[in-house]
Amino acid sequence: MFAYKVVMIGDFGVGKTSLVRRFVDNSFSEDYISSIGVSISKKLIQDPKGNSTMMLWDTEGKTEFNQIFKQYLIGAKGYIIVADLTRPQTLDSIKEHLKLCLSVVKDAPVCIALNKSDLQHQNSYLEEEIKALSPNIIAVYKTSAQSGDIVNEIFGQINSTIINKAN
Amino acid sequence: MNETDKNTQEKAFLEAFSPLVNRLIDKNYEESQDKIASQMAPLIGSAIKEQIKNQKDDVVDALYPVMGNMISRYVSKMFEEMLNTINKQIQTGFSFKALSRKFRAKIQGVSETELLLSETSSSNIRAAFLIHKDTGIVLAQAQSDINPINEADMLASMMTAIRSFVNDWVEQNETHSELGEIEYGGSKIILEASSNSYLAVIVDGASYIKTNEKIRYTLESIIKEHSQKIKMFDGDLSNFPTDAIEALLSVLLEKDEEIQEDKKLSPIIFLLPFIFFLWLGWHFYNNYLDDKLTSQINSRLYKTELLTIYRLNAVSKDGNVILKGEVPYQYHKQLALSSIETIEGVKNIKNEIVVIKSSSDPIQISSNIAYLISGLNLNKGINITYDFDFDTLLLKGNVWDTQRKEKILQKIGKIEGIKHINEDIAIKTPSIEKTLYFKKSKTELTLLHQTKLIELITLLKELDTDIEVEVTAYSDLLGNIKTNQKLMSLRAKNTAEYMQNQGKLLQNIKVNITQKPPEGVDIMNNPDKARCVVVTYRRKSP
Repeated sequence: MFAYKVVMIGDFGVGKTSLVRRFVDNSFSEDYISSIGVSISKKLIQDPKGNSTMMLWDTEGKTEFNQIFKQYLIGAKGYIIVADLTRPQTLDSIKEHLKLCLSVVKDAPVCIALNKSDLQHQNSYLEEEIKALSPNIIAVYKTSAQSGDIVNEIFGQINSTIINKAN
Repeated sequence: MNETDKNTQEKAFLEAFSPLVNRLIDKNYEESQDKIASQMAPLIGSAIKEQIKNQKDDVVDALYPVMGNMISRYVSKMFEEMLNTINKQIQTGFSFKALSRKFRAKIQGVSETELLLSETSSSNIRAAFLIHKDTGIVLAQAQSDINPINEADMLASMMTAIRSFVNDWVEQNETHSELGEIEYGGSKIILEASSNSYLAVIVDGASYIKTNEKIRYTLESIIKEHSQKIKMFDGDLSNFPTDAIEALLSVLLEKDEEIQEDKKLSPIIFLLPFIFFLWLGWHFYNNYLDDKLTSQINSRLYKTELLTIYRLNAVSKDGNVILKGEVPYQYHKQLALSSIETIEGVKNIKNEIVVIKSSSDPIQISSNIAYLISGLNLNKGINITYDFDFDTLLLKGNVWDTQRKEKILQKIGKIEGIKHINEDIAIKTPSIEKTLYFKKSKTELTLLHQTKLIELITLLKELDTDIEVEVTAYSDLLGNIKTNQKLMSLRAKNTAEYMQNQGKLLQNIKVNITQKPPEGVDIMNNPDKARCVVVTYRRKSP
């Protein structure tokens, strides 16, 4: 059995919690996010290479007044940075979030989730362009928590990367 | 429609529908009680809150009879349980545990009741988790079967988050402090951290110093054995010593010493103090007897006149006596032994008195010398004096011969304590001249002559052999010279032969014949004094 921690970060309102809710088996109340800045969820992932337990730390979204609490990023095996396709400034923040993640765990794999793909959005940001930001970025997905599209893929991708890396 | 008509119409409407609506409500209530309850339930909490906010006293008055009774019953029940436990503790009576508690109470300066209370309230540890500090992953866990925690992973991660959150805040305000305890309801989570992991222990009820010590000890044991594995943990639990750590954690769940019921002590245990006191009494009585006998023996030794001056000491145990001390002579050692043999109670004597001939006392040495010399001076031919200046002896005086001198020096040399002997003893041989007078023409020795010669022989026997005896015959020069010559020879010969035969002297005897009278003898007036033989001696020239 493999057990590890994955941290979700992104700007406020990009849909981190919605993505988590789509994916996990069990989670604490989302109220915790507003009180201590994080909520914990758990997902048991069955894989031919071995089962694993992913503990998802859903952090409070970054705003102008509220910075991400760096302590929660410590010890993560992987990060999922979420941005909102409908809000370009959240896409701009990806770079900053990436820098923060890699400052805590420099060789951690990172997945980028460009959320709300179901809504009308400008497609000016190319996935390749984002991927070029760091070799740590293993995949960039357009996701929709609303429709559930690609949600499982993104978590599956980060899980297999982590497992492969450990082996 | 004016206002009056409107009111009249409304009144008529209410009168017509009110009974109908009331009936509808009653019917609905009877048929859908559960539905109403579920709909009302969420409102009750808010309603009570609102009521307490507005009319707190009314609520307290309304609830008091119910709450008061409830609390009173709960408290009574708790006290009853506690009293029962304490009673059981007391009933264990004369136990080692009770004695130990009394002792601890004295040492720690707390009342025994307080200790009893702490013993009766044992902590109940429900679960213990060893959690990786950074990731919040549960590395090992131990839980009791009652009310187990299902989502330990979730709890551990959340606790890690809370811990990080609080510690970060604490660090900003105070240094070197971290979250140690989270309380909720009647339970608490005790957190004990090491460098890479921490223990979260869920305790129901109160926790005591002992509980915290136990938790700390468990974490120490885990770290001691597995710190490297914990440090290197990368998420792979299959290669992690979870089982070994869980075995250590399960110790935490074991209850503290339970009061063992019906564990009666054997009656023999009650006899132990009596046996102990009996033994103590017997021991003291024996000691008393030993002391008494010892003092009796020592007193006897002291009162024995010849032993008083020596420091002798006797120790007795059960009639067996050991004598110790130092005396100058074997005699004293024997005297000590014989003086105490007759004392009642003495069974066996081990005489360890040491005989040490002491010669260091100058007075003693001086008196020994005086004693010996005065004794020696009583002998014929010895006349010596001494001067003793510790530790050198000077001897003066004279003796008849060297034999005497040697004998004196030999004897004095035996006195202990004299290191140097300086002597100035002269050999002074006594005057032994004897004159034997003869009648005219007589040559035989008379009885008187013989007596004189025996005296002489006796003296000569005591003298050295290196002296020569001279027998000289004198003449009165009357009559024929030849006859005189013959007479003188015979007289001298008889004298010498007598001495030789009677005395068996070792000294040589020389015979001299002189044709003249002895010096100073007037032969005209005293011819008898000239007809003589003179026996004298002289020391041989070396």
